[in-house]
Amino acid sequence: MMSRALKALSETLAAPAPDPQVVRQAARAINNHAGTAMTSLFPEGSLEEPSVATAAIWSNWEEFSRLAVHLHDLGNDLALAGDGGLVNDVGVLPPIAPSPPPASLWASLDERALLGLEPIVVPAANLEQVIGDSPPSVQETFVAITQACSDCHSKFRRQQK
Amino acid sequence: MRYVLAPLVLAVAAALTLGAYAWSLPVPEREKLIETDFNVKRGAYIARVSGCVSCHTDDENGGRPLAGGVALSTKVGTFYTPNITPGPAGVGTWSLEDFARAVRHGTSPDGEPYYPAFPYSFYEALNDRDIADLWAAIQIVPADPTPSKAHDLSFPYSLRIGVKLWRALFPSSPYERNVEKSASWNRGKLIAQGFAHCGACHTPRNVAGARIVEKAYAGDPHMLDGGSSPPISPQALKAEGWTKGDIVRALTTGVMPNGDVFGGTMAEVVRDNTAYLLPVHLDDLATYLLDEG
Repeated sequence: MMSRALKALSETLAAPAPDPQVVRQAARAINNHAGTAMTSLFPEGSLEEPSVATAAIWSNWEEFSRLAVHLHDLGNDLALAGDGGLVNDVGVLPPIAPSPPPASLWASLDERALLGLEPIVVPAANLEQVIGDSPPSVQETFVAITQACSDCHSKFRRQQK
Repeated sequence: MRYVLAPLVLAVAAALTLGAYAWSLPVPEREKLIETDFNVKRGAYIARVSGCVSCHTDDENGGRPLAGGVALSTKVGTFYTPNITPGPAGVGTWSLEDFARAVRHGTSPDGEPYYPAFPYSFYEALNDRDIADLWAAIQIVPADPTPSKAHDLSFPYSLRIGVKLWRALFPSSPYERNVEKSASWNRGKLIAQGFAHCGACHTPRNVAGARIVEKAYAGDPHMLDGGSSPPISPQALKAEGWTKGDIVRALTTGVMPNGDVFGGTMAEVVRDNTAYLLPVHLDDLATYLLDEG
């Protein structure tokens, strides 16, 4: 369910015209399946197949729970961002204004951010271009969601062959 | 007693002979770089997408940019990435030619070979302009006084002389442009084989830890860090139904075509490196990986 939501979300945000309904549905799915709904799927010792969880889940339950709740909160953020950021008064996406081409391929790059001297808010530059002038919170939230998923998979999931 | 000692004497003699041979191997020469204008922005981009920033910045422990100290745990011990900030503790005393030789040939200004944990064999593909821009970008990073930490390796891997021998036995294969393919495909090849060094994880290695080039991108079930990586050859990706759009999305967001999200090393690669690739370069990389065009 979570993977279906992420797949739909990543596809719609990469499309020329992201579908706000897909964003809302994904937000709901993430919200419903994260937090305690997620932690309840891992009763202690449930490592038999087909689970890909590692025992670190129970030795570091606090961190696992924190990430699950964090994801739940991000689901809320996405719902709010989707309603406020992607949809205008008539319920459709704002038109994406074509941005002028940069003077060179490199002109638009922020060298200090690339070198880690300053933070980059959204590293996925292409998503930023797709969304255009709409508030950045949808993409920021999407990036935060994927990073929360990655973080959890890195800490608590066996490497898949 | 004589017979008992004979194998030991032979082993010592063989080790000395190999050591002497390794010692006699030539050190790569410094190369004069073609005159070029420096482009700091382009250099910063190369530093980011090639892994210089992520590998030489110990974010986890609050390290300063490019100050090194990132621990790379492997089967042979722990490597620590060095400080490459432009001060005395880093590369402040180096010349551009020193830097070019270090990056492209894995050789220190003193002529010492770097361990192949540093992916210099991929960076051989970088041209003079790439190196010059990279060098210029490093100069804008504040110098950090933290000394580089020594590697903690088990014997015999702790003997650096063995690295020279290893290099002689397993020379790297140079990057070559394929004139029959499109410009985009070739840029993608350069990104995969050079900057992004995909083969470092996705190409299997032999017992000596050298990449098996005939099996490029076939996946590595026994990675040096103890993990495993899937195949990313065009055949394997197509068999799994990957499209160019899927590759671009996965490399920018970490979300795979089935909606699953990368974990482990690949999650870090996306977060720290490939998510920063410009759209045109993502498209090039996907073109090459799927062997389209």
